[in-house]
Amino acid sequence: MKVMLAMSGGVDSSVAGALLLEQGHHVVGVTMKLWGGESDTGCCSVSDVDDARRVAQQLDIDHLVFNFGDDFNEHVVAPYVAAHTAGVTPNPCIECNRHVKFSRMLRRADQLGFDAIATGHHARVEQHGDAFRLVRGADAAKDQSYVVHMLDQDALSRTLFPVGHIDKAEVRRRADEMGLRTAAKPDSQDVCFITSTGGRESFLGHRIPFRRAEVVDRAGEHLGHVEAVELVTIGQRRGLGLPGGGPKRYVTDIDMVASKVVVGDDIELHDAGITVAAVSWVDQPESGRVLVQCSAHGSPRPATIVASADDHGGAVTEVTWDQPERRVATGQSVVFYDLTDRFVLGGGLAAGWHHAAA
Amino acid sequence: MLPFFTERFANPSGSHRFARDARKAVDEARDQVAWALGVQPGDVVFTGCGSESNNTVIAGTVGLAVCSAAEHHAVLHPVEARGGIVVGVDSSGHIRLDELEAALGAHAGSMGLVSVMAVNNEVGTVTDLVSVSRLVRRLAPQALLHTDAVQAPSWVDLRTISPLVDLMSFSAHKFGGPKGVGVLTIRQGVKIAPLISGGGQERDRRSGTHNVAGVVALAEALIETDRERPHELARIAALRDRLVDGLVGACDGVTETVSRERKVAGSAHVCIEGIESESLLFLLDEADVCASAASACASGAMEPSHVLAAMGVERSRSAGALRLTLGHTTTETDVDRALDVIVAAVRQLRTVPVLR
Repeated sequence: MKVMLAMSGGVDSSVAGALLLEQGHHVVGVTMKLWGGESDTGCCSVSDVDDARRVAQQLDIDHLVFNFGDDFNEHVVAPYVAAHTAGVTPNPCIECNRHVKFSRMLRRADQLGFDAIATGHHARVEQHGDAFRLVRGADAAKDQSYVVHMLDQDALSRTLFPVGHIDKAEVRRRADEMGLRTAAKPDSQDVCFITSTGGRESFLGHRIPFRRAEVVDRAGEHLGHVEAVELVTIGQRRGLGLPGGGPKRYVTDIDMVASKVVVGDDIELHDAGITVAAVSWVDQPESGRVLVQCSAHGSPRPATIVASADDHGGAVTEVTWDQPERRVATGQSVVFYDLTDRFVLGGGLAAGWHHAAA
Repeated sequence: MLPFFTERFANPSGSHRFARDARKAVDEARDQVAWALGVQPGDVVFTGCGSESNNTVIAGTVGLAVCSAAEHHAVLHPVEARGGIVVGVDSSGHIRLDELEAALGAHAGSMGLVSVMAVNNEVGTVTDLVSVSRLVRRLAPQALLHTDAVQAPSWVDLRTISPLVDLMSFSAHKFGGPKGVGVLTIRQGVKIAPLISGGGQERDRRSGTHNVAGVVALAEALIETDRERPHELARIAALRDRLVDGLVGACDGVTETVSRERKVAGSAHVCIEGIESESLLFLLDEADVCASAASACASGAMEPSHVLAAMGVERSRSAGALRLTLGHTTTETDVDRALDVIVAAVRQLRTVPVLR
């Protein structure tokens, strides 16, 4: 097959290229230039592009750079800023996968006569009859099925994850064996447009005015204030200007209209369920008992889900936890797995919570 | 060029006979370059590239600097960094003379440098340097006039430009010479602070050991280009017309970015609706047709063209920009093959619409 390989300049996509070549594919490496501003690392710094190009040279495959900067600004950066203004906690890497990386790559692959795309994600695609299933990566600790949960049948039918079948140690061993320059390169962790020195505060501070907000308890009693309500997240405990020594208090709610941050104890932070919006399904809408994961490396929790009848455009799914679970910030991705904790069923964005009965 | 890598390897700044031999080669090259450019040998300064020549001018002069919005980044960025004025261009990419006049009028006393390119590197537009020069001399007679003429030698007799300006920049690889060597001409009496100081080569205007092989090759290539130009212009213009007419005729939604009478013979620049340049370039590259869209940034990604943006071309059109250059090696067979490949590629790309 003719395969377009997304090369971030990291070890996973480097080894993915080598594995595709071993399997006899014709491979062209592509690095996506997404963010043009300040960056420490991530997917688009010049040194990462250099690494990708040098690995491609070593693998003797062509390497191109595609500039998707406009799409990235429109579909990832602008919504990221808007979400914080609205008191929502977004996951920009997932939005990037949804709107830029996979969708743009697949379209380019179609235009340019490629049969498939490939990335270095730790996830697997399995074909069962006519259906494609999205499966957790072989390395449980590095599994990235959560961040690619939005891939549907059409996308999965043309997507390869060559390193999803091996663990990270094996990836590094293979890279080392082949003498790839990325063999010992650390994993990228952070959002590519947020620098370690400036952080979220500096990034947002240059783009939106911060608003001061009052910190109150559930009864509305004044406890203190924060300088930037846009930087507050559900579940946050530090940086709220509260006196030390008392019981641990967490952010349980953020009222952007009234500029109020509500704090409460651990019990108040637990919910009976959540409403998940903008749900996409790997195949068909599902209802029933599932496992639900609410962060990239969070542990999946048992729940019952009910998908709304309308699965097109803004489908909503209600999640009811088996046991009360810690509140999920609005905007976070909520991903459904089957009870064997192997297959991704679908996922969406947390849009609200159901209070546990007091 | 080759002997200067082997038996004639000496440093021209030395004092022994081998050095004198190398020195003679550099001096002769300087005479050749001066002749082809219509300047004095003492005006010719050998540099490392066109960007160095441009940067030397902008860093080495004083007062307010002005350039056009369509300049190469090697002019635009240092002018902006120095707090200069960037004058707009019209829809052909030509500097707006009324805006230049206004800028010169408003800052007549403090104006130090005006820099306007002779030929635009992306879209091929030829600047009316007669009018620019007249404006500068009339309104800011103390200001120096520089032209980035890197794109000009294959298409324009430089002897018609050199009397109009004080400073000119060139790069050898744009006229068949090697990469990594350039020229800056500095009219006698004009003082430019050097960008590189040290050994005092090039009369203290550009220190650093000479790239003797590069300098010799640059001069040879320039002489050859100057000699061939009169015959080549009509031939290449006809090929360019065949290429552009062929494209416009075969595909809907192809428009010429700048009309042909305003640009050099070897430049073909079109905007193709409904496709993205990056995709087109990939398919052309696969079929061994080498083309460009705008200019590449440090990562190798195509950056949206600042030239097209300055000309007022909307993003939806400039997204499908295609820049093809013809030169002395281009044949009719090349053009016909390029046409076949481009037309087929555009049709293929249009089967999968662009996401917008």
